[in-house]
Amino acid sequence: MAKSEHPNDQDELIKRAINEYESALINYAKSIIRDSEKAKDVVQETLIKLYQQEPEKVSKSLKSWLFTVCRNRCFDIIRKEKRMTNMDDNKVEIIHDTADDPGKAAERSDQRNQILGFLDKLPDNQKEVIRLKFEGDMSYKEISQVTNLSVSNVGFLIHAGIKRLRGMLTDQTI
Amino acid sequence: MKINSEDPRLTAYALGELDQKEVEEFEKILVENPELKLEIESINDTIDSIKKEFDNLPKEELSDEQKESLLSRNKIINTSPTTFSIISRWTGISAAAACFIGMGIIGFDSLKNNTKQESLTDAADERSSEMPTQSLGKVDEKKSALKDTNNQGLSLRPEAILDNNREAKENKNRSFNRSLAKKQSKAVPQPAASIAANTISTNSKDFEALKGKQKVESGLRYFSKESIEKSEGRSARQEKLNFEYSEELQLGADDFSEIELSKEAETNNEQYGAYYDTPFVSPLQAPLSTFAIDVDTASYSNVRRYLGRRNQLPPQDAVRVEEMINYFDYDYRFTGDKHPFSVHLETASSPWKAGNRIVRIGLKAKELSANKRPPSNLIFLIDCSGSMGNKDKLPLLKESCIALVENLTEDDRIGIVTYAGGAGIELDPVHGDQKEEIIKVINGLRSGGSTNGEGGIRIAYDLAKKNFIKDGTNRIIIATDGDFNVGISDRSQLIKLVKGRADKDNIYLTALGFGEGNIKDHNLEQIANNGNGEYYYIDSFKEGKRVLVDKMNSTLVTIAKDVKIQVDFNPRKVGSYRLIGYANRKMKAEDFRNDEKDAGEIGAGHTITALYEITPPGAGNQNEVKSKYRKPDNEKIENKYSNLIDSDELLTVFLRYKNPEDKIEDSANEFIVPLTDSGKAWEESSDDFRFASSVAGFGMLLRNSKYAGDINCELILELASEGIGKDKNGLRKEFIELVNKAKAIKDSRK
Repeated sequence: MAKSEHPNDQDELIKRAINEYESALINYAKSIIRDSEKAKDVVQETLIKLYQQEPEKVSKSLKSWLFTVCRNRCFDIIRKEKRMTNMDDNKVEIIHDTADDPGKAAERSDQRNQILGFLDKLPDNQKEVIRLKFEGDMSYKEISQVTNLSVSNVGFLIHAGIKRLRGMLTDQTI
Repeated sequence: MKINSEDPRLTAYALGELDQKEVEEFEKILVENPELKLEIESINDTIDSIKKEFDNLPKEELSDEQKESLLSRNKIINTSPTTFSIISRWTGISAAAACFIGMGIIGFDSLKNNTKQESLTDAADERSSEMPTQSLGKVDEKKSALKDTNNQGLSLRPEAILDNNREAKENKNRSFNRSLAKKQSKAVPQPAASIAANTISTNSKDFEALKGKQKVESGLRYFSKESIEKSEGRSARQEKLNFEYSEELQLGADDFSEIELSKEAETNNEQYGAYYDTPFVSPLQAPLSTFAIDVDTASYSNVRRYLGRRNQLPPQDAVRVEEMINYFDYDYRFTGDKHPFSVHLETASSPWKAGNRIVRIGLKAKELSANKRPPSNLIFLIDCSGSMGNKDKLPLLKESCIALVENLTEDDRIGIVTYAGGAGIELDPVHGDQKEEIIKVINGLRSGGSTNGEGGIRIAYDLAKKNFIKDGTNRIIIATDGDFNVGISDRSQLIKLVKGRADKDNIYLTALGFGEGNIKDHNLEQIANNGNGEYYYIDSFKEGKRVLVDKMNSTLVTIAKDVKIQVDFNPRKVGSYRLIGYANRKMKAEDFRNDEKDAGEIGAGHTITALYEITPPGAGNQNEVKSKYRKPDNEKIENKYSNLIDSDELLTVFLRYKNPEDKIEDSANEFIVPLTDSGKAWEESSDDFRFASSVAGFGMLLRNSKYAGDINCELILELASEGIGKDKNGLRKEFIELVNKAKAIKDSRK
């Protein structure tokens, strides 16, 4: 049957990508570039890029592929924006957003989103691997592929990150 | 073997990341270290809570526009297959599209070998109902999962998405609103959702999705704010600022309708450069004050949006006082013939600080009558990225552009380039009388899609150059909600390009900012400055029409460029002075006659106003520098002024400008206007003087300026209503309404 002969054809790939990873990808991109609209743009671009791939090549590691492409794109954007804001200028200037105070937002935030709030307080690399681990449901190995970190490094970061989260959660209940 | 709690294997073990051999090894170690069992339990607890939280996160999805554009990509691809490999790839896609459109039930796997597309599409339609029975068990699971998601509005079927989303949004608004009634200042998602349950009579799945959506919104909100703060490393001052905003947001939640609420719920990613108010300076230390003129008006329309639509005070740094003052027309007359603009000076007492004087410098540019407008070569460079989809962005932009097009003539040329969502040139320049064609293209613009690195600004400039009209207006009009992925990633490169094209090719650039939540105010202003153009913020069709139609001449036709003002203060008459606004337009005194230094442009008929506040001589100057090496008798008046000539003049204004066609190496023209203080009180000043002071005062108040003195809303209102003048376009009246609004907001915070 066609199905069993070509279990990973293009359509299946796209479907899988959207069905299983759309949401995780958007949240992941958002956690890097801090902008919901841009995150969606990035995910859309990632999916478009998927159309251009040979299905055989990416199907086995679809998840890693998607997160890697998405991640690279995010960092491209961040690099660009950094250059933009670092633009040489005679004046001292501080670009900032006008978002409201995070403390207040935390109060408003649902109790159940507490961990996400704490997660954001972790160093970027810990935060990222923990997201990939739990939201992306990835193995250490897959995470290592996406982030270019060694598997043992990923292990260290996740361990340290979870430890800190635990500390914060304990702090909270006292 | 002894290990401690720092060993990452503890977590790896808990997560099942160790392989069989490692597990065995590790369990042996655990036997030796029984205390670590507790550690692992605790890690497991944490992992469970993290998992639970991530599992409970509702699905995020691409916007309708983006999904549509993914879909339309398939459609485009479908129409012109050329090679086998492409066909086989597209086959799947078209089948997917067909299924989604047809039923939302998937069953096209067996069709993959087929390479004929039309038959495929039909086949997929026909067979979709029977297909599932043919597939394998494992696949079945996936399919039913997909089917489920379809029902929740997560599929690629556009109509379904639109319907579901609309419903969800409506319900969301409704529920937010209701929940407010009960829980006033707290936007807690949970009760909101449960109230929503009462209002939703349709699908329980919708409700679930909705509930989830709200949760994630509040969660993410927390997230992004927190993290932005972290990554940007804000100063304490801004923290305080943000704290104030959040108070305003709370207030907003108390008494405003669902519109404001849903806006607040949007992630706010607007960016403003920080500006600092110019301090008072003694002319003994620095006799010359130099600045470039500025005819931007964006800040005022942005402030209006905050007060009028959002019911909030604007962020301090979004308020540029000079742009507020210059938003209004003043009744200055063009009297000259030698120079393209005239200067009018007026001085009177300060309405907000007894003893101080206010000096107003007013510029009036030569008018052009509408039929004498030189032909225009306009290239619109339009941001069509996904974020432009909101009603206050692309649709407003289209409407405003069409209004402009209706005023173009046969002599004009107009072209359209987009820099996202499609490739490059949408409309190769055509003459302005081909209105139908132009409007058709404008109406056809769609937002969404990937950014197009190749397209953008270079294409726009090249088109403008190709169609250059000698003795005409040659201008790029960039319209965006803030992102500049125009093909040049580096902003300094971009500025260099914009500046280079303005200097070398005489192609200028005007920036139009749109929308809420993403506006990169500072970027836009800087690009426009360097492109010899202006920056406008379009908050409504009315404003679009004002900029592109009513002010068409001044927007399009530059009559003088690199206009600089230098004021030379007489220390015998002026204790200290302070330029109100123009914080980011100040220049070094020595750059005034450096004709390679870029400055501001002035369009036909424009009026420009700058205000100085002056303290009388002899009054204590807190900024005065005292050196221990200076003889104390140097402080005596006669010594202070010993090297000054005897003059009754208060100050002299020097003006320097170039004609628009002058090159960067050409030398500029200069003229001077001296002013002697008549000593009159502000009550005797002109309408324009009072109105401009009123706007300046309002700006200072919104900025919480420490120089605001006795300024309060009552004084601003008094000045504005006395200075309202003829107010032909009703804008001054609108200003008064805004001040009243700000007053109400301020009062409610007390």
